Amino acid sequence: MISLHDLRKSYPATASSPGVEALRGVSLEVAEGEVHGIVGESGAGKSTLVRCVNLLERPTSGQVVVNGIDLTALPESRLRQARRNIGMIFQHFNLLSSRTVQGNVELALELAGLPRREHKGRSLELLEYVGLAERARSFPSQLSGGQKQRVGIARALAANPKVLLSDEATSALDPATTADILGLIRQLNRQLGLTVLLITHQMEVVRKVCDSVTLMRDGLVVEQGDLNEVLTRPDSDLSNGLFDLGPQEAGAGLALLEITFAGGNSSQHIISRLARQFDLDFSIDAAAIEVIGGVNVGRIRLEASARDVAASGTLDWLRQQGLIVRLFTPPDDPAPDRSDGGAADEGGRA
Amino acid sequence: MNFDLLSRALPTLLEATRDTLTMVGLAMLVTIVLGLPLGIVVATTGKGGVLQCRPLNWLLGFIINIGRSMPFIILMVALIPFTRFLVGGSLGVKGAVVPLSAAAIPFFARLVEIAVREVPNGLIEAARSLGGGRLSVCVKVLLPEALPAIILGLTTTIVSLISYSAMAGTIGAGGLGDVALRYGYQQYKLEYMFSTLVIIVIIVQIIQMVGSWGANRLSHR
Ligand SMILES: Nc1ncnc2c1ncn2[C@@H]1O[C@H](COP(=O)(O)OP(=O)(O)OP(=O)(O)O)[C@@H](O)[C@H]1O
Ligand SMILES: [Mg+2]
Repeated sequence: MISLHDLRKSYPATASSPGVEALRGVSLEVAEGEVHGIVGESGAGKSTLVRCVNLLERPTSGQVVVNGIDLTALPESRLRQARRNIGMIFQHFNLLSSRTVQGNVELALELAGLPRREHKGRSLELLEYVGLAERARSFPSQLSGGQKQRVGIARALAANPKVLLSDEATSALDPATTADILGLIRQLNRQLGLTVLLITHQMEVVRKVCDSVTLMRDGLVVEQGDLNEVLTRPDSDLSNGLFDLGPQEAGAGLALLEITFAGGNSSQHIISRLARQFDLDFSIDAAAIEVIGGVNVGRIRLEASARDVAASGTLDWLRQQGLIVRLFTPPDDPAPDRSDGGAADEGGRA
Repeated sequence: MNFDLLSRALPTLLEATRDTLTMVGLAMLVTIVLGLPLGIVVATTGKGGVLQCRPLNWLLGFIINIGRSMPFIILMVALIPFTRFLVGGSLGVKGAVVPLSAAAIPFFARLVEIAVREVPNGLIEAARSLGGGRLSVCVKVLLPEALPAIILGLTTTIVSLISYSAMAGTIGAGGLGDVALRYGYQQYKLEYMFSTLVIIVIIVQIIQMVGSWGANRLSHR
């Protein structure tokens, strides 16, 4: 649905700023119906990238294909037409203060060239959909941040787009409202089949709504993949960022067992099966689990007696179940399993 | 000052007030018609603007600066031939409209420019993301969003026009300035001087009140 090929964008040097290469060859594929997250440090080029998707920013070189149309090749008038297929929402909502909530949605209908007599019905229908019909006559200044973003979403949906772009749309909202808006975005994705490309700096947002994710740094893609696949990469920045369990500190004589669930059946009742099979006592040290597509995906860190874990063959059994397991042991109690994976070395830090 | 003097001055004062309001009103209309688009064009043709066209921007800015740097009294005199050409023979009220507009247009255009530049860039971005063209961005986003500030700018412009109109009285345009000068200054009739002052103060107060009220009504920020 969205296909970016080798995008480059450089801002020439000016009197007040040196030249910047904001994008240095970014390629990205987002399949239809997918929610794709883009994360990265400030200045990584995330905003520049999404602004290139609807050509608010024209890339210096490279190709942008959305819904089968090469936008980079279109003349201005056709491009305007194509933009109506691409909704966009913003961190600061960008609603007109001079228009009511309904007026703001109608702006989109006017710009899309819908016949005037259909404006009222359609705008109310859209507001109904985002749950704001009763505030139709309020002005944006009278709404909360979450409500403003709902208006922004209604406006973005006005022309029945196939794609929704979101640049930090929840960054100005509190956690509860963020969850609300993310829920709405997920709903749009499921009910309308909307393909979503969203920028965020909160890994939690990616975990909650994204199917796939791209990590950018200095105008380049450094990691990319489906969420549960990214998770299986040990020690990658993305998997650590997404499923961060915090620092590991095994107590004396205790071992930490980090199990990664990357979807599939393997995670079914794994803890109780493990306990039964080996007659071991575990306590949960930390966990970061998300339900993606109906299956548990994430990491859990268990704490158990180092001696028991070593003696029982727990690790082998877990690996046989197809799980990714890492063992961390305290320094005074070297792991017998050391040969089994580089990760065990990290136990030395504990 | 007694009541008798005042009532004798009244017809002259009323006529002068009417002339002043006519001059200012006509000049205001011309100023809106020419100054508003000029201000919008100047605000949007600059670097990164929706209608970016830097040579035009530079040229218009240059012209506006010339207009703004000219003291009104000199502008008025310099424009006399042009005014004669436009309105024919005598100067009078209609004649005053020409230099008044010439002075007010660049002033108002700058105030419009400031108002339009204050509109957050994000709104333009949003309209463009919705498929809006350059012109619809100007008409549907910039103008309505800048309107409260434009109304305040217009109010300021009108107040300046009133003070300019008093000067225009000196070249035979009539109006309150003419009365104050002729009766108040030259003939030392204090009642005229005093009354014209009071009338001007009242007009300015009313205009400012209406303008502020209108801007407030329109602003929903
Ligand atoms: N209009 C511009 N002119 C010059 N440089 C720009 C412009 N826009 C962005 N840049 C530069 O491009 C780089 C990438 O900026 P961008 O806004 O895409 O980063 P970002 O990843 O969105 O950051 P953030 O998380 O802070 O929003 C930065 O170095 C920025 O300074
Ligand atoms: Mg950004």
